[in-house]
Amino acid sequence: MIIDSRRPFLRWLVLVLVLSGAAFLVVWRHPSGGLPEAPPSSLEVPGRVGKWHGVPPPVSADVREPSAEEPGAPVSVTARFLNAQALLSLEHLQARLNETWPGSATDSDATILWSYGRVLFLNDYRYACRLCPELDPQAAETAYTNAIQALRDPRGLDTARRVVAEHPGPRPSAPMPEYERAFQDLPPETTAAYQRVLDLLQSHSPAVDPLTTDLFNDAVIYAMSLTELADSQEQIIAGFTSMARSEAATLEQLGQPPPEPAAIDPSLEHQFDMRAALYRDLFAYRFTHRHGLDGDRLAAELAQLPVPSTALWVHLR
Amino acid sequence: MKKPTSVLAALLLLSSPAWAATIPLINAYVGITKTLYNVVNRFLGSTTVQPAHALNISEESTYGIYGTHPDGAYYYFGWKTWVRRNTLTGDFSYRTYERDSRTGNWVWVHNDPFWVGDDQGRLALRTYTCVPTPGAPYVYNELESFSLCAWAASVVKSGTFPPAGPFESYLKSSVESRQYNCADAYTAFYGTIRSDRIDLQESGITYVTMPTTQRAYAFPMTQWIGKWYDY
Repeated sequence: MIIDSRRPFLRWLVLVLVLSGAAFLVVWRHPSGGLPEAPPSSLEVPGRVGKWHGVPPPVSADVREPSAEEPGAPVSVTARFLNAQALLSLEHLQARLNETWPGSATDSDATILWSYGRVLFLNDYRYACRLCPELDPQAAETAYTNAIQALRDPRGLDTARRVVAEHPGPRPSAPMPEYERAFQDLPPETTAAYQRVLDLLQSHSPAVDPLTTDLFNDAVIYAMSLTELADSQEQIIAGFTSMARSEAATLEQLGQPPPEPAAIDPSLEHQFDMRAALYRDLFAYRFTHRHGLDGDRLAAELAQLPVPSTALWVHLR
Repeated sequence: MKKPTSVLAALLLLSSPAWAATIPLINAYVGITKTLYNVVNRFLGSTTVQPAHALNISEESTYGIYGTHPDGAYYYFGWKTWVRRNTLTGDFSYRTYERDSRTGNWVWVHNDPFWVGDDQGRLALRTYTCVPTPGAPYVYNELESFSLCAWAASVVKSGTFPPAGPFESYLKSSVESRQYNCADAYTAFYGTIRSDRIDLQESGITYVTMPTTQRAYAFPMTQWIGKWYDY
């Protein structure tokens, strides 16, 4: 039996090419490389009382230079300055909360404000890591724990104030790769919100680029927090209004007289105002003492700029 | 007669050395195909997205009127709870309100945390109004609503042309019906409800509302990246 081996070879060759073409199309079109992603067993679901433990991306070489220092080596002047600023910001928030917060020890709004102190401190530490190779980016939580301890020691706070006062220049610039992405391929309302914030910052410091430091990060978080607060207030009031309307409609259907219009509890507005004031105080301090701006005026103007809470693109992680 | 001949021919072919020689060849082609696929795949790259979701807002209200005072005003009752997740910290803000029985005004009680959902932690989309005695000033209302937030907890890219966002994603939950009548008797039925398509961005948050009301949804839900029919 004579077998012409060339024909099957050609057939298989064509098959291989077709399969390769199909594989190319699958990979090209499927966002996860042709395979479905891991199902919910690996979900990160914060749950009702959990926290968002975002997975920090690895610090790439263009963000942070490889550490040339040995662990335990003395930190640089820049690192001392940035860490001292971070500590003083945390101390400022704690002092303001202790002064002004009248709520109970379990008040969830107070919990959120304490958490702001933590998140902003971690942001500050990671910013410092970008400039100071002797700092370990993985040690951010440890640094926060140490900072909480340091707040109880007046000598540590005095040292931090002296380090900040004696530092010669402004807050140094660090690479901010998040900003490059912040204006790319975003929903139009997010880009517009960022642009408004950027324009305002540029009008406050024409000589300094707001995108060379964490100023833009602070400004976006502040404006976003106030927008979220205003949304919450509106939503609660709308809920009360909707209930009153539906009740009046039901009574009308029953042939009963409508109820007296209910007043909105004044404590509702007061609580939101109080939280907004604490946000304003916290960020005005940072604008003033870090970036040399008129913090109160900038905070007041930023409060007028809506930034949707979906726009958390620039947050340092 | 044709059929036995064909069977015989097939048997001869399968038992022949020619067929035996073809099997390694097939394996070789399959191997080449796989290699090509992997090479192309690796060159183009891929994006691995780890999705996550959490409760965004939950509201529960019970309120109504339970009679009339001699002066003609209604007697009111009501309580309301509200929860919202803070975008930056992931903590939740809680509010509890009660209704003044004489004025009908809603009064703030506290901001302390409380259990959200039913005894199993299920969240409901529900509206319910009951007028037990038609014509009498007695009205009982219940409202429940919630929304979720979804985001990409991690986005890892490889290769030269990894796919960019947004990434198609879905949430799915076991549900129980919540269609009471005034006597509180209802026929429960169980099922599964999937969200509409969610476009997850590489960063930032997308808000999600489940599509069907009068249901209690198990939480947390099943979430995946891919097509709606994948899970």
